[in-house]
Amino acid sequence: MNVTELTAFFNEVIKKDSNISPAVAAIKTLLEYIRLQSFSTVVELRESVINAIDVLTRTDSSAISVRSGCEMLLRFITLTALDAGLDSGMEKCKEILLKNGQVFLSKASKARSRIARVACPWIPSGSNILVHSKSRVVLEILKEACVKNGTFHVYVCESSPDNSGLSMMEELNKLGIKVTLILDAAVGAVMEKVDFVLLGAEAVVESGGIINKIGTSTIGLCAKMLNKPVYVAVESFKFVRFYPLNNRDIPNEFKYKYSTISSVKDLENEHPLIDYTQPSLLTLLFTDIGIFTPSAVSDELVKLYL
Amino acid sequence: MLTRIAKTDYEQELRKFLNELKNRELNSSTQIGLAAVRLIKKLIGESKWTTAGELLEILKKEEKSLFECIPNETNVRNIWKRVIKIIKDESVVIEQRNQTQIDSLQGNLFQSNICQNLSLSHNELKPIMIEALSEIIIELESAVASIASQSVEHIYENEVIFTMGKSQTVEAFLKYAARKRRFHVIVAENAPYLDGHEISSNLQKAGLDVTLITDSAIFTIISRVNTVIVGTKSIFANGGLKAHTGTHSLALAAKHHNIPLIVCSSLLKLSPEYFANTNNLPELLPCDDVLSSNFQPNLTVLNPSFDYVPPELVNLFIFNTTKTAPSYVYRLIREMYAIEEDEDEFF
Repeated sequence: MNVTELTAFFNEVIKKDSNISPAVAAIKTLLEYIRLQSFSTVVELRESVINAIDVLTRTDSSAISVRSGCEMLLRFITLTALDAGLDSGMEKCKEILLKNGQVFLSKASKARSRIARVACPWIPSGSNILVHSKSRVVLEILKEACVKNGTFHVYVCESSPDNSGLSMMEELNKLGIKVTLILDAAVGAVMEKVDFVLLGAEAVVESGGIINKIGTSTIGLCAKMLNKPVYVAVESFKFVRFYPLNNRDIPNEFKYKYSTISSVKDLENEHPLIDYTQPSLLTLLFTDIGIFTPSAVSDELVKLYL
Repeated sequence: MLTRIAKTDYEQELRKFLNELKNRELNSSTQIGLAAVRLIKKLIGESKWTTAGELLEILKKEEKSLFECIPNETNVRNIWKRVIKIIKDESVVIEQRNQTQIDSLQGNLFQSNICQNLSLSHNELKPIMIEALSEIIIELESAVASIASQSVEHIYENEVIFTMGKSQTVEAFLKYAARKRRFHVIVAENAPYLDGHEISSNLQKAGLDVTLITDSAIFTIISRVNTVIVGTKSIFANGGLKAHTGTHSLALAAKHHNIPLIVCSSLLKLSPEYFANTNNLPELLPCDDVLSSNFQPNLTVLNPSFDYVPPELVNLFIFNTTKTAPSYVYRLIREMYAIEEDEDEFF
């Protein structure tokens, strides 16, 4: 599989299933890549997967999401090689890798429904919820909560520049949930009406903060000011071994689309697509491996990379 | 469950336990904990099981039905979960490399079947369980004393300490410090039960200078206080408290004046559950305690059973052997309780 085939497969996977997370799509692509290539040593396998990951992060999908999923797979490859035993040969190693990769994919696809079940008791009927942009995990939670607990009122931020809030509003309307679309600028005014904020995330960083669509940080600050809880619903494969201290620490590859970085000389005038929300603004994280406080996240990450 | 005629010893013990809880005969958390351990001991001793797996099934089933009766007794549930974890720990055989935690990110994502050898037999497991339960009893009984022995590090000469209501742990804590230091205690009486009266008379018998105030005077007095020390009913997984009503207001008053709030509690009060802060009121205690008789048709009297205190308002937890900040509590929980792998349970 060469560069164009890799990108084509990735885009194909995303197109076929609009509900799939970019991280899962990237892992699917990488597994296919591993299946098709032949490797003679683990180091060669690892090197070529790293190159493939670089190619995938250059598509216009959420770079940080793709990177977190791929890092997890890469880590896993290194560990599986040890598991398979040094004398069992590449074929055996590849076989184990692909088999466990499939297990991961099946778990990842169930992640959203697990999160929905975990988060459901926290969304009582009659509550007012603030939601930012379009998050498939949040949608799943709201769907389940509406059925189990009763209906509630959702305020959705429009979230420019791509106005994905509109598509979120349509989806919620289909579920029969009462929705109000608000301007991003209206967050400060609306926050007093709201009971809590429910966010998705593109990545969870080591400090316990999240990286999400631009505007999230503002919502976090407003919520903190008015003592409203901020809940984040995120799958566990989005945990990333990265420790930003503030928004300036986020590298450009994550803030802007690849096409923007490659075509524009001076990024100062470009609008960033994501921002970093610090852990002190978040109350709880709902993940498929349980509920975490922001301080528990780094522990979890360290265990993975031990 | 209560309608069945009590056939076995376990069911009789269970019936007795539930009655004692209902009639409020068990006064302190230690007593409730000890009764719960007795219950579990009976259950393990009496029910028919041959392997660890079967015992786990029995315990889980009992847990479910028991907690439908007493959903608010978090400490009993904690002990139950502790015992389940002990059984799992003793009988799990995990594949070589992945020894540490099955519940970690890595384990969850990439392992299809965690190899659990739940076939540890009755003969092997029973003595282990008896020993483990005895250890829990020892821990329960010695908790108050070990917490109290740490008091000297937190209370200094001529300080003013504030406490609210009656807590066995806090009383022991202050009495121990009184032997080495001279300080002043202010006690809020904690309406409607007025248990502040009892603790203030006990403390002054121990030689301390005590001042008793009404709950409404808390905000006025608290600026003159050095530290606030309270007990709690149980502790949530995020470090928040499930404490007696009035504790949240006290915590807010302390925060306002930047006075540290210390919570003394045994490790067994640490619960793996989170508090879904919905707008529903917690379970209500009898309103007779607040306003006896005098039925008036348009008057509703509420007597909530507990207050939720968010972790930001707590400065320090003093447990039997460790002292931690609220943000570290998740670590202790991970060590004490097993993460549920079943599809429909999380903690």
